[in-house]
Amino acid sequence: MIRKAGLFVCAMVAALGCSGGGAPLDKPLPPADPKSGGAATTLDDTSQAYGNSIRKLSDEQAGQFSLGHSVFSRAWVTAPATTDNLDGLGPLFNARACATCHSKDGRSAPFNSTGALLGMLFRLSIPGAGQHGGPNPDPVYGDQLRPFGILGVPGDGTPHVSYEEQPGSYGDGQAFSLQIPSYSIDGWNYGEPADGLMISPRTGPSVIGLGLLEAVTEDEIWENVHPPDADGVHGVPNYVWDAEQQAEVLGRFGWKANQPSTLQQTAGAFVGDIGITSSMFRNGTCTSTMTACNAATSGADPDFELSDQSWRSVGFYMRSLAVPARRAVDDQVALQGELLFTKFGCASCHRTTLHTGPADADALANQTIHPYTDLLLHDMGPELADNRPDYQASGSQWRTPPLWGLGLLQKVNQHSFMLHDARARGFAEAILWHGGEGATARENFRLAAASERDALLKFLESL
Amino acid sequence: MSVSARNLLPCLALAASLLSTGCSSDDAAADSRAEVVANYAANLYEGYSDSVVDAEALKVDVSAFLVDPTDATLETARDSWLKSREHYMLTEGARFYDGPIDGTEENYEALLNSWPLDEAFIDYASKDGEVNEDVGIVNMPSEMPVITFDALVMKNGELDEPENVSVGYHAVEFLLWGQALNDVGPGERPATDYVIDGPSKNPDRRQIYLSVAVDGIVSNLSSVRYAWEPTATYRVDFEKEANLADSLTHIFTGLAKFSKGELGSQRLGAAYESKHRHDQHDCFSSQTLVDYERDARGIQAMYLGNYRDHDGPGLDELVKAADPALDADLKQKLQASIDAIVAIPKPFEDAIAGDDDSPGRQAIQAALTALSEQGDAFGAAAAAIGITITVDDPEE
Repeated sequence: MIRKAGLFVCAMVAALGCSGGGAPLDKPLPPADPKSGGAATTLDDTSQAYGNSIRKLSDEQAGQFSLGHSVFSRAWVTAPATTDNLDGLGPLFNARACATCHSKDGRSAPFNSTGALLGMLFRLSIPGAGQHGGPNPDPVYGDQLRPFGILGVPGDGTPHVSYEEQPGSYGDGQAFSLQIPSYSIDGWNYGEPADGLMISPRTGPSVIGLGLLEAVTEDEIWENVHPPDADGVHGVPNYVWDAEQQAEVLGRFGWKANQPSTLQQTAGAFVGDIGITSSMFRNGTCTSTMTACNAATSGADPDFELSDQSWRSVGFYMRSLAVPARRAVDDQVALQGELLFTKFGCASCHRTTLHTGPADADALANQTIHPYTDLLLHDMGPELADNRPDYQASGSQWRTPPLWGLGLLQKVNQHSFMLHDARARGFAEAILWHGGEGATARENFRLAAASERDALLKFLESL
Repeated sequence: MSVSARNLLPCLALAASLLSTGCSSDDAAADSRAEVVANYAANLYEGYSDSVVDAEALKVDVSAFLVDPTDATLETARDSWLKSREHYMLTEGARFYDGPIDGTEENYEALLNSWPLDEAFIDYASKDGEVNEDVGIVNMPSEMPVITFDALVMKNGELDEPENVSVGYHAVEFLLWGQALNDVGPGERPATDYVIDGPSKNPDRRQIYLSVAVDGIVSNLSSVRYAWEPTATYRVDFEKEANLADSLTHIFTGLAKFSKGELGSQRLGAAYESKHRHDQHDCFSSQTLVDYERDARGIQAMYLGNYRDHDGPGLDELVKAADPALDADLKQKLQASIDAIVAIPKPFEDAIAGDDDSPGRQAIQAALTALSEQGDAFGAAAAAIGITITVDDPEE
């Protein structure tokens, strides 16, 4: 790779030597590191770019990856079924498969072709803290809305979203428009929810590079925790309940960093989203007043539906998905954009480089990676607030989402919706929605010259 | 391609001979690429056309069964289902490049061949020897008063792929064979399930469900075939001079990903890991290994440019011109993986169980390895002709 980078430079110098016009560049910027995920980087830049395994898996790991992939992508079915390792769907559910919301290991569009909400779920809670300090679930509907049920079991209710356009303009007068979402739920099938119900929409993020993020050492994460800087940036870790360790630990995953590990996130999503119980979460999600839900047949295994083997495998699968290489690494405009990314203050939270520590796969361990996140919570202001606390995260704090691979979103998932509830239509709107600790960076972007804004976007597209 | 090819155009033979003598100019190379891509598209069109014909034959036999549901007519309908899979399996190497089969919003692949199937969504189901005759769309008129294909897709596939697990080949398979309740062997659905006023509940609705599911196969296959018609936009673009490199990338990507990721890793590898007897696509009919062999033969034929008795210009010729050793190696691997699948003792549900040193699991492991190596060999072969693909695990 070093040799290749050298060639890039030579080619670039040669190209510059011959060029007659264009913006003068005294000193061309050196090419960027294409290996966003270190050794866990894939060169695939096609519509399948998120679905590649890291290299150097042992035979046993490759087998685990295969099984994990099948568990991730196959649909769960109503019990009983001939395929008794894949039955036990619901009775209430958001989707039948992981891959429904994480299509091609990416992020599904928020709506399907008929306008129904697709890759989005609605967290529910009422004021106060629940068990272990997490959100306090609604007594009837629990902590998320499941719009669907198996035959004979009505879903919880029907979510709706509508948008209102809010015009704005860049420093140079160029207009833009942001869509302000409003959410509602009607058709509650099990009675009215409790007073003070809080709703927080969430889209499923892509699942690339999770093994790398899990292997980032806590020391490395703590490095970015400091008192507010001049721009008011002040990242803090979330501390959440770890069901396996039975202890409070650092949160890393989820929009509010409310999950400590891929395994727990996975088991939580299985029971919450698909209605599949596991050895970690043995209880289904029907509450006492849901008669039909409680009467439904559960999966073949009498104790729980997701076998430990399937659970561990799907966890391994997600930890072993490689990160797409950065593209256009010698594109001078994109490289300028990267400088602006730092200059504007984006990189204060979207930390360019992190390091991993020990891990169970060679390609994940001791890597220098470029995820563009600090895995910390930041206050994003009323602009993005969901006003729903989640462990230490307030109603306006969000975890900095990683940006790697995001430039391929359009190619993989055929849309460019971003942010936790997919309200932003592309990178520019996502930036313009930043508030709170991100307000200074947003304003730096908004007030910059069009050429600088374009350069920044070109950089993001190269990720 | 062999010298005795029947449908060879004279200019192709010329291009091939130029290549083989090493005197090819760039133009000749471009010509041969164009011919290889055109032949691939023509063969695929034939494959889908045959699949439509097969599905129409299935429809005839299923209709005959429904008019007079007896053991004999059921057997004929089941045979027809097994036959109807052959040509479709031969086309499966054309997946994973966002082509007409799996790259459009409709996702015909999911509507045709999705697995596993939501049995209890469709019809009665048994658990621990107890049959619940009151579940499934067939037995719950209030859930769907009028059974239509669109209603099934809407209701079961509320969202998107891979949600549709109520229609397609395997739905028909389930409705013909029933649940496979024994460790080994197919399901044992009686013909009387379809006899009006017979022993089973809702035979009329079961009849309608089966008809609708078969009609869906015919209609969705026809849509895929349509996209590959000689004058269809997708086909025309696919063969355009300017798109040849992209098209070759697609072709190699499909073959590599289908070999290694889908047939190898997903269909054989996941089952090998889970050891679940019914982790197999044709679990109701217990004919999975027949399908997997057809899949492997389809991949081989696509590389060679063959379809049935037609032998046209294939990828092999492009690769051979660039690197004869790589071509020979890949051809050897293509045959080796077919042989390895053929060597797996039938039925699959018997072979998959047991210790890792059992003959069945050893044979499955060997097939897995062969398919994985074949996938990598496609990557190397593509590289030899200047096509870069990433050979890895595919997405469903």
